[in-house]
Amino acid sequence: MTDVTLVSEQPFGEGGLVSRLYQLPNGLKVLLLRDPSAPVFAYQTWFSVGSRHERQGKTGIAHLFEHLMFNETQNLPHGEFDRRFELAGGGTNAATWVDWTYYQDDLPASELALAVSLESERMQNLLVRERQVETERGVVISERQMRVDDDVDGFMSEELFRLAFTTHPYHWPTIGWMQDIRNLNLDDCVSFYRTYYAPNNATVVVAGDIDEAQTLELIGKHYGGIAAQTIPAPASIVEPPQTEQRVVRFRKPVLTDKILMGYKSPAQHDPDHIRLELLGEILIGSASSPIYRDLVIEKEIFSSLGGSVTPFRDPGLWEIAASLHRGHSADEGLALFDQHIAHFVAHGPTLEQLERARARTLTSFYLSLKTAHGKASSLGESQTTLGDYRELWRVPQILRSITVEELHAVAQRYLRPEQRTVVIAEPSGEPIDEDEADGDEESEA
Amino acid sequence: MNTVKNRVTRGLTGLVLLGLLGGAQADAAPVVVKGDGRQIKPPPLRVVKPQQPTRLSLENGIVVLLQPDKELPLLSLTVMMRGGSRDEPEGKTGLADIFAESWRSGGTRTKTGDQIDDFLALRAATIETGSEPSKMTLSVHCLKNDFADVLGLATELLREPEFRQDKIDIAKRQMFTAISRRNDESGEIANRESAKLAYGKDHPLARQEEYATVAAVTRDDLQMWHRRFVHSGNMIVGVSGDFDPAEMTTLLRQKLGSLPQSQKLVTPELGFVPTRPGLFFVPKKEVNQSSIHLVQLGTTRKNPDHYALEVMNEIFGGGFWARLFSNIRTKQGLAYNVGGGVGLGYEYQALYKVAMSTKSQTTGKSITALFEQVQGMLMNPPTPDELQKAKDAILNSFVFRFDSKAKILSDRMRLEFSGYPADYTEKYAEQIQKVTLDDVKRVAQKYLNPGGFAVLVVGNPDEIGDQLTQLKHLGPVQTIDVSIPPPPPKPQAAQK
Repeated sequence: MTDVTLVSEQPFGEGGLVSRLYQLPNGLKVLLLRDPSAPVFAYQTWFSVGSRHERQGKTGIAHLFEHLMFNETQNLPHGEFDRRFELAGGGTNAATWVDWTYYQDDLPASELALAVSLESERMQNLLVRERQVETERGVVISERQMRVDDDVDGFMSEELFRLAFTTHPYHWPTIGWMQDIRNLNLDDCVSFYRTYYAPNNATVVVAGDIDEAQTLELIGKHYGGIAAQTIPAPASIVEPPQTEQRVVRFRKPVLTDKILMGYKSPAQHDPDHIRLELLGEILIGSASSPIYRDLVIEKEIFSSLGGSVTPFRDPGLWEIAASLHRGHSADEGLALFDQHIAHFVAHGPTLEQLERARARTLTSFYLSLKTAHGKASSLGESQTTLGDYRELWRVPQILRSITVEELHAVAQRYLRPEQRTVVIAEPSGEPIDEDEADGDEESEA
Repeated sequence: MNTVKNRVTRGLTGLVLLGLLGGAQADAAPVVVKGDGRQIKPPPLRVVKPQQPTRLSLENGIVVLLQPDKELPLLSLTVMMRGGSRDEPEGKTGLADIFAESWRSGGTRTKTGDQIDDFLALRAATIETGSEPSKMTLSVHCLKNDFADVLGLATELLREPEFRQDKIDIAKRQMFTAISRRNDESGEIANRESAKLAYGKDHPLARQEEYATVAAVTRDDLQMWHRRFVHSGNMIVGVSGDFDPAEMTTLLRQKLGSLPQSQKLVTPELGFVPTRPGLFFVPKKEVNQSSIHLVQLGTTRKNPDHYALEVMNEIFGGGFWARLFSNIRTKQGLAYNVGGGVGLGYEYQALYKVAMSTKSQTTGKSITALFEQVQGMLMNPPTPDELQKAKDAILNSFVFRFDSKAKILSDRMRLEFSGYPADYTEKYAEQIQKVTLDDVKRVAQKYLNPGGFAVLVVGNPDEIGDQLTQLKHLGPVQTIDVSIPPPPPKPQAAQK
């Protein structure tokens, strides 16, 4: 058996579960959580590579490559990977975002050996061919058309980040610019695989009804022989401070105005990140939140209003999306929204507002950890984005300690008009095509 | 109330599967990165026996299912009641949704909806009301220690909701906005219009709310609806979470047991007529993908053929290895999304739908390809290997239907609600095992019926060109007008 070193361990909540991090000599991290509450387990492989590791002209390769990972390997003909998981009663999927790419399998408890075999197989034996790159490019182009070009919300989200980030790689969308997707080639894909899909750039997370010793033995046996690679350090790019509000408007085939805005927000490791999330919960998170109650329920300016803080390694955005009711304009909605923000920045929250939002946020946190899949995802994301799975349990700790004064300070620090970017979609009147819509863009600074 | 973030995922579950186009043809120079030549054996089958909830009846007729689960200090309670959009009176389409919205927001005799919001927010609790075509639900989620208080409030809502007029008006205005946005997305149009084609546009399962039908709903209608559907003889209650069953039973008797006794409600069966075949088109100029739906009536799980149909569906469109996926996407590269099968409703005939999205330029070719796949199930019937794989996939994935106690409870409530025996789920696996190749061939011949489809395309007429008119065997192209009838001259939306 390959040598496996226990790196650290931490209780997982208060129910007696323990998460443990191990490492193989080739650098592969293995995070295990035995939870026998249901006869299933989640098996996830998190790679520390996402769209932030791309460069101009090669955007979209992390996501395109994620598609390629479901293709043929040296020992598995095409289609066999999915077929074996499906026949075992499992589900498999993957996702790519700015800081990471992860592959997930949810399987019955008896299928651990299958997961370890197939996942280690594609980490080391994937066949990357011209034909596959071409077909996956076609799929991704189709996906981009569906998610961005034909979808107003997808389009607005892309525009928000494009405008809010001028220097940092968060500027480009994870799916990539269309021109770049069209130009990616076989060499790019092979080089990407060899560079980033290495054991020392990955964490395997297994949570559920498993035997820990058996799991470690299997993983050691199947992954132990994969060679480590030299992983290039991600370029340390700091987005310059935003000094004035950025606003852009588009005509789109919608019947009422839509707004998507983003205030610059702290990185996920910053305690202010959780504070800003809590502040968002206070302001717009529920029917009793002041902005939601006033503008959605009482004044009926917005038909929907929601938001979240991006869980990114580097500073991101507090994103807020709103749709206007008929007869109300985005400008009117924004002006009223800003009045609330100004009041909140001046006065801060009340203790009662804080306590309500704290209770709701804590409950959501615990609910997200209910399933084996939820537990594995939370552990994997903390390990990959924050560099340490134990950071997960700092969330309830910080949440419980937040004071009214801290939230007031966070409001003053982040809710500043000059740090905001706003994307507005207004009805075009007539259906219009994308080129024409893009041509109608008006920017305001 | 969170926004969806822009992470990019490979796939979704359900009818529409997302995924990958594969390299079906051999290439000259594969890039082998590393290798160790291992072989992997297929897995064995599993047998699952979920731990069932305890069933009891309160004196007033309410059926209760209890599912203790000590993992987190939380409790959930769901009240399920017959009565939904299928039961709306003519000219009042939208009533069930307005009821569900203003039931909670309109408060009780002693508390306004806003006071309820504050009461719940302080406890990190929720009470949510919802409506579906044949049922309504009231759900409670809260911390264990607050349960008695929150249940008391939920009981008040069940017994004496107030339906304050201002909240009814808000609910109606929200529906007006939803109506105004209903043509924003191709997928939404395709789902809505294909249901109308399959069931008939005025069928209770397909008709849609308009400004006028929403405006016609009054507070009296809501109160009448409440009297008709919200009573003890029409309630199934499920509780899961951290509780002691004896204490919970006592608490439920105190609270829900106080609702007056009533007769069990029986709603009339719905009638169905076969789908009218044809080729239908909804023009949407601003898109570059076509949504294609082939639809006709499916069947129900009360049909003895449904086990064989389940296996047939798995072979036809069940997953990444199924025929639709591997032929339409992997081999022909026509689709980003493709999926389908004969729908199996618990209570009424679900839709038999085969659907995909494709770029405008391959719309005609894709429709032909979908028909070839349906025909292919008849001309090249499933093989013993496909049968075995389909059964393995269904039976081995069974465990995920019951991987939490809340899911087991939810399944049992659905069976209770729809009149299925409590052991339906356990016997389901046995019945799937018994399905033979002849069974699958027989149901394929009986139900796949390629001539019975209404074919709907939502797409860009300029880019699609004459592709649809060339499909002459489907008949003339019938354009569907989805423009939204204008609001009444003085809509209630303007009365504030």
